[in-house]
Amino acid sequence: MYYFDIQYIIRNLPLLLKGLVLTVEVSLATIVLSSLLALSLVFLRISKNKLLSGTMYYYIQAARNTPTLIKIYMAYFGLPTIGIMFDPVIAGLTALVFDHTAYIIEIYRGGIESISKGQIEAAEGVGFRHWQVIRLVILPQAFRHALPSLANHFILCVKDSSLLSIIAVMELTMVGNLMMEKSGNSYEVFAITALIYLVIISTMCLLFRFWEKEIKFNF
Amino acid sequence: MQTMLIMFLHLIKASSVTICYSVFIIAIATALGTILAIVNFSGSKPIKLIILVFIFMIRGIPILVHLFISFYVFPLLGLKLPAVLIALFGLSIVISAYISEVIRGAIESIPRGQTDAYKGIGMTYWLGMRKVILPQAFRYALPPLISWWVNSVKATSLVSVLALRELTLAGKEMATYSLKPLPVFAMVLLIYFAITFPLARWGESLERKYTYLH
Repeated sequence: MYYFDIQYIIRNLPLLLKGLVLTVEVSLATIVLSSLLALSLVFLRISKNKLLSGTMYYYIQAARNTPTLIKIYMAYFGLPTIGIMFDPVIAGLTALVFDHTAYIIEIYRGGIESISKGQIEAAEGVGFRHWQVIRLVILPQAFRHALPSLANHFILCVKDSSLLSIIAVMELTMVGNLMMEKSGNSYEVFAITALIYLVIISTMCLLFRFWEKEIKFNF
Repeated sequence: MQTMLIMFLHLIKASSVTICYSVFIIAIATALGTILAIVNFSGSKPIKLIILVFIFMIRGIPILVHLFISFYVFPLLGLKLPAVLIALFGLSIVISAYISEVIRGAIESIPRGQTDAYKGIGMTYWLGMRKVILPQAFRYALPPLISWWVNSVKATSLVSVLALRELTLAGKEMATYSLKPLPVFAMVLLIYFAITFPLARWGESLERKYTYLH
């Protein structure tokens, strides 16, 4: 433990980089897919129809209050029994998108409901139609209100991508476990894995803080 | 149908372990988090820096990696605990970092007037914190705290990767053994939902109550 083996890390750098690339791909795919899906589903959540908003409410509660690990197992072990064959990455991605869409629907809903009714009445008074009001007045402002919570949640998406290691997806955590089992020096392996995750997440934090400052409301 | 019922009862037995682990993690994480928050709020600059670095390192790493780090590195440091305690203490420390941020935010949201009031009466710092600030802060902190309690219950499912017996591992074993993964995992999800949904509803009702109070 007192002798930190840098040569070991340098020798295994290509493997770590491959894991890093897959982690970044999975995280980006989760973020993009669940943001887009949530954008279409949030209108069901805020609709006046009790059936639609109730269904979405229970979907969101079910997704938020159950562990993501079980959903990943379900997608990987359970879906092939009803005929949907995925490779592990896509199965894990399905489970993660199912989970994160629920959180992002709530974040969007918070952003949309924080806009005062006066804006909507003004827009309708000017003559915008329903979808024009949503597209030109509500969504840009809701996005600015929701950006801090969204940034926080995207960082959670990156951290949840490490859960895919349980179904043997070769992302960073799985690569770390493999290196650890093959060579046995846990100290270096987990130091470099933790360092890479810290670098990714700090970079994201800084970028989002810069973006928030750019588009902040200046009253 | 018979086998389904037997499997369900087996899962209920496994869920008692999950509830034990969750209560342990919630208790220790809340206690540690409160202590960290108070020390962070009223500490000197170096102490605040150390706690900031600590929380930064915990928030920047996935919880699974934290579990592996504590599992492989604790014995190297000389702490020879059984695997259960290593996993539970590791999780408690991680969640206490998040909880300390919640409680620190609540303490900092108490208006300055309260601090001036208790100083004016003549209370010392610790008496004022104990009798004036902390009860009010705790009421503000309760909804996010409850959501972190729900997250603690979800985090107990992560210890299954360290081969500790609880609901997730029991469900996975039963699903792969009985060749009926979908019904078994659906039952596991139902049991987790039954454990966490009352907590989540309580948190939501508290949040609604405090929003309408002002």
